[in-house]
Amino acid sequence: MVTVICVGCGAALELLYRQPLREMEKLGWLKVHGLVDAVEQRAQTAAGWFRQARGFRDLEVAFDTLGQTDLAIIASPPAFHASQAIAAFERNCHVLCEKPMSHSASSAEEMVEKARKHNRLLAVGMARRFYPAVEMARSWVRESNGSPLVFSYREGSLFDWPVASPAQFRRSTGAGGVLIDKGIHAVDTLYHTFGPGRLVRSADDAAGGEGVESNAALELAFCSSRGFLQVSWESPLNNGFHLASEGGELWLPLSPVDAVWRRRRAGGQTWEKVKARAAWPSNLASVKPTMVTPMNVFECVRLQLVSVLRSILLGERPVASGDEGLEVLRLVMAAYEQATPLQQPWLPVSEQRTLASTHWKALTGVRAKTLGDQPCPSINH
Amino acid sequence: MNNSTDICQTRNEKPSQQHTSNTLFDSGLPTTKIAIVGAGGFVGARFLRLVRQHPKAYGVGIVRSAKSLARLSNMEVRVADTSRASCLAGALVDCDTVVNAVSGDLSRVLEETETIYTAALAARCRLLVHLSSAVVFGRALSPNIEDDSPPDTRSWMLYARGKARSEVFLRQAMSAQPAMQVVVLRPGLVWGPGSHWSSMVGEQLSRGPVCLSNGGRGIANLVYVDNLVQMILAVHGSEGGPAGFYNVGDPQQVTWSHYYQSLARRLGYAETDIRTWPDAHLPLTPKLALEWCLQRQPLYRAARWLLPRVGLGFKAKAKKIMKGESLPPHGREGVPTAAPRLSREHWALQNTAFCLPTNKFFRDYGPLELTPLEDALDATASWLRFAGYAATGPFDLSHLW
Repeated sequence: MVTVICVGCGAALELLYRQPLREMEKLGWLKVHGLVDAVEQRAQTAAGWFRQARGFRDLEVAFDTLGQTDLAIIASPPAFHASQAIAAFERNCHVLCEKPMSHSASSAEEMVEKARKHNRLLAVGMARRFYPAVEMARSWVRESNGSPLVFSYREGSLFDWPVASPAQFRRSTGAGGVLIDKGIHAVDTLYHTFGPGRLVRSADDAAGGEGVESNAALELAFCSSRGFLQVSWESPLNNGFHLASEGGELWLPLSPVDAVWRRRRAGGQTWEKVKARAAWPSNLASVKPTMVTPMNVFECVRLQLVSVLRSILLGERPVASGDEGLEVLRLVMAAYEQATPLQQPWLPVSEQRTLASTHWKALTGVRAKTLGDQPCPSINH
Repeated sequence: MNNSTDICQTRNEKPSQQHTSNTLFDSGLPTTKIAIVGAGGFVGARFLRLVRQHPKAYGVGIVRSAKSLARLSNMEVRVADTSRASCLAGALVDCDTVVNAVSGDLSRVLEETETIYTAALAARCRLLVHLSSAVVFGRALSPNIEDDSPPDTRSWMLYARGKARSEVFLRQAMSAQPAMQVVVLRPGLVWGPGSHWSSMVGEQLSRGPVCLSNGGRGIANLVYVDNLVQMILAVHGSEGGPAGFYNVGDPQQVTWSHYYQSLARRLGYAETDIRTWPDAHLPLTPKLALEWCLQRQPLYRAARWLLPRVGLGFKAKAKKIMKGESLPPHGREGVPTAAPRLSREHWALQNTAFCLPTNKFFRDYGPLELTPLEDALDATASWLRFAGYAATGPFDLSHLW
């Protein structure tokens, strides 16, 4: 049985992990024996959700009190991820870290190094890798045999996560805004679909000082694919992940998790709806595990937990490893590094000028660069 | 800085503010503070951004939860429990004017209005600007509706009933307690960049041809968001101006067909992408019956209680039933052969008969230099292109850089 400590008892634990952890506890796969949160009341409340768990304010005290722990699930604010993960590795504990892996690439690198040094697992919470639709997009890209692809990925909606504090909306504590929050899922989906990539250019609307962006746009290039990503905390966009090649098009609304539309360019304009059927092991059997196709985000989170337990117990490769999480974080951090003011031509001219002059990069004196110098893959539309 | 403050815990710090000269906002008044309750909403957020350009006014946002701060980075925002008058009064204590732009729980519109009124009075605010809605007159079936006509407190819409009852409450309060000036503004549909009423057009067009009810002749009682903000600021700037109830809207009368066609043309869609259907009544369907049930206060409250408890899977299914399946770009095809399937609310809007008169507002608080319709349409289309709704397709990124 895997012993578990949950670090950070906010909305992620309550809404995403609580239910599958309780279920797995009943199945005897794991035991949650510690809950850690800087706000003791939250830790105590969360401890009540599990059979034999105790609440703590301090992670070191929890480790000292509880003895050997196999897995730490880190779902605290991102600024604490690195120090908490490193503390866990030093106690010979595996780590499943919620996204973003950390608030800086250097601290994430340190997490990966420490995991390697202590020979522990570092998995990153990227539940979208379990979306059957995303898996279908990966297969579609593989089948295109390196022919040029273009993509667009848009995801916008009013921020609606029940955060307990404004920490996420300050640069010093949140590291960024919509890009490191919602955008990191999107960048990870692109990375998972296309493989390693690079930033071409980026723009956001963050103001100087403690301001964080509520809109961001990135142009990205992957092996034979090029396209852009746009995320918003402010309003809906024409949401969806759209891929096109000479051979056809694929469109994923991303909700529901298994919905995919495709059409053949040669066959006219009619879209065909396809149900993605990719499945993952849903139990800990080493031989012929039961395979399940997730139908919603909850089931994806559950399968992600199963995957982590299988990695610990059976030595399987995690679906989202620390190395991959680091690569994704580097792309996001590069986007912050290179950010230019987002063009907002719908605003009155005076307001546009004010926003450009108060953009966080303008105020910090960092000149943004455009890296893109390679032509887009050419595709006839 | 993100100057968010939990009003019950710490004192906010005043950020440095750029006061760009803008002739539209020039006035001889000393700098005064305007609090907007419901600053996390579309109108509230735009208000806070525009008021930053005002040379004589300083905006303070009031929100009920930290999540509303996502779109208000770098603004002065106070987090306060807006359901408790004493807590809210603490957040309003140094403000001259309070704007009620709350849009949350539809079953609590009246209670929230009462709380904000009580809090503003306790905080000794000079002026309360209450944002009501043109929906209190339903489909505006008579040409004789005036600013002081009685609102429909028995509307089928929960939101409309709440707004109408709030107006009744405020009318009584105005006569009983003249210590604070109360101005009720009754905007129609607030549109513009980022508005639901504008993204709706882009969303529909990007999926295929759109069909409008009532031959597209229904009146879209629109008010451009920047114009609404200017109207609020005009009321704020007019010290000792008359209290009362005012319809507010854009100066030009616009039909739904004109609104859709104007945006579609700017986005590059063909005129034939907007179709009309000469329907005159709303067909009864199970979905509409469910919508009607959810407009009953007890059922609405039960649904609100239930929704966070049923999990994301059930929520996704319910959303799919109510909103329909997401279609891919240009995924809807064909010429309509029946009346468009609209929600009851959208059907009522597209079957609005008359434009509400706005003369009284401009007589008392005008004239104002408002954004002309064509400029507002240009700006909105520009934002819709940014959001990915141009006819050129989803891969066009020319609008981003």
